[in-house]
Amino acid sequence: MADIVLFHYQTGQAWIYKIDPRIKLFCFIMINFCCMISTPLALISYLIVIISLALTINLSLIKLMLQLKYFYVILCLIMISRWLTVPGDPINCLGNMITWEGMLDGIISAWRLCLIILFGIIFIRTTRISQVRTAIFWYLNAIPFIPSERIAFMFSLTIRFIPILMEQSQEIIIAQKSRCIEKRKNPFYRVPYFVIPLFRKSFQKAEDLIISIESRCYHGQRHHAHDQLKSNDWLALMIVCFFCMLIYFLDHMTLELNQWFQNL
Amino acid sequence: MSNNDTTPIIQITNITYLYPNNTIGLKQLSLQIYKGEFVVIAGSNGSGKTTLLRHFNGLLQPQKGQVRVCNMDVKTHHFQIKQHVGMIFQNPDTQIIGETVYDEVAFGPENLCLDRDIINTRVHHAIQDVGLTHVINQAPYTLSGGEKRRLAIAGILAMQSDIIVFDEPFSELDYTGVKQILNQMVRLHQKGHTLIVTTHDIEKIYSHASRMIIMADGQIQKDGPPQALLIDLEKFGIREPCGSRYGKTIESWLT
Repeated sequence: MADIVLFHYQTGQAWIYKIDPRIKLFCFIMINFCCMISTPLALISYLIVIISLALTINLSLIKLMLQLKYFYVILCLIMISRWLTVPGDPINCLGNMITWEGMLDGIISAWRLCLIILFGIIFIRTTRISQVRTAIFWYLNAIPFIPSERIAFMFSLTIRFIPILMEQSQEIIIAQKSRCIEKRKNPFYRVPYFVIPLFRKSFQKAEDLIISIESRCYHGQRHHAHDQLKSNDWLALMIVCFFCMLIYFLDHMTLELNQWFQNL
Repeated sequence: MSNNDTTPIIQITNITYLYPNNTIGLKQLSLQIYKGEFVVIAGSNGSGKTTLLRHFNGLLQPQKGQVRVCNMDVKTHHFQIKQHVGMIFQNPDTQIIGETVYDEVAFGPENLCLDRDIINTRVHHAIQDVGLTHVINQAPYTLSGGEKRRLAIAGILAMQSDIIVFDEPFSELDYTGVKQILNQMVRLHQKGHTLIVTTHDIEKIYSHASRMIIMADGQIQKDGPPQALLIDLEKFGIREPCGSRYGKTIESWLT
């Protein structure tokens, strides 16, 4: 499990660890939103931000990309679905089923999703689950009639469960490999042998976790400590807001200029 | 049992527990545990040890009978009782919730809605008590088996429980890990905690326990001082300690 770097908090001394979790959560949501509406040029700048953050917190992007290998299947499916559904000029050499616009849209969609996942990994790696829970609670508590404590706790448990699921899936894969599952080429044969034990083990773990939480007096109300926002927190917020607006502005200006040149 | 404490800290009267598939967990079981005792509950697999432990802090409720802890009924005071009775589970991985050692230990006190200063004091004290100060900011999954179990103990100490219940504390531990946990248990007992330990490996704990209960088929079969029950162990599927088999004294694992 020590090899798994995905969705795990790692202690550190970098500046990003010291930012208030409420500000960090807000910035994370804002950057993700901007990623969703950005063009490839802006996406490059977000990629540079990710690389810089990874270097700051000593996160090996190569190791990370290797561990994301199963996620690439989902990315491929998204790309293919976009290729086949977006209308436009067909690519003749591919039997007119795929369009140039679809191809470009598929690649950009997969890229956006990839960036969001990477930002998520960096967020979780630099923020304690208890801090994430406290931040979610703080935002939701302002909305009436919402069980903010329970939602925040469930959310933190979900994050807590991701590495457990990954660890269990690795154990199952190794156990099956030791009994020559690879000889079976048919995925319809292999998938149930992977999914059923994974679900059974996960439910069992979830059950054990519930009993353990209950035995330690969990009753829906917990202590939440909110520190006062410091000048560094406000500064971080302003930098992220300014960066997102700048990227958005440059992105639009480029598009406008592009259109203007085309009109000429 | 200490001389002044004649009122049981845990009083169980005729409890019966059936699992949903009608398997008998506990059958007409009565038991009294006194403050400061070091009780070993021995039994083979499926004898009802863990089921009984889970009744001590209200994780399971009996279908018949009554469980009282510190003069409170478990059914009506389950929150207070969970604070009094801390439970260390067989597999510490299932108990660990926090992303760091600090977070893990703070989980219980945070549930008690204490002030942050009190939480900090309790957490640091508990971590120091189990000797994990050097890993306070580490992720629990990087710890060894013995350290994980000590972390689980720290989580309970931070809640200031009087009664500590250990479910198979030595399973999957190496020699060093067993000695660390045993040492911790002896220190807790010396500090006045009431300890209840389930195990089928008597040899490790025999020298330190003040009372032994042998369980089989969801019932208490024998109850008395450990020395008096050694010869009965094998009748109930529990291995007699090696020293006792050869007529020698059973030494503590800590010597």
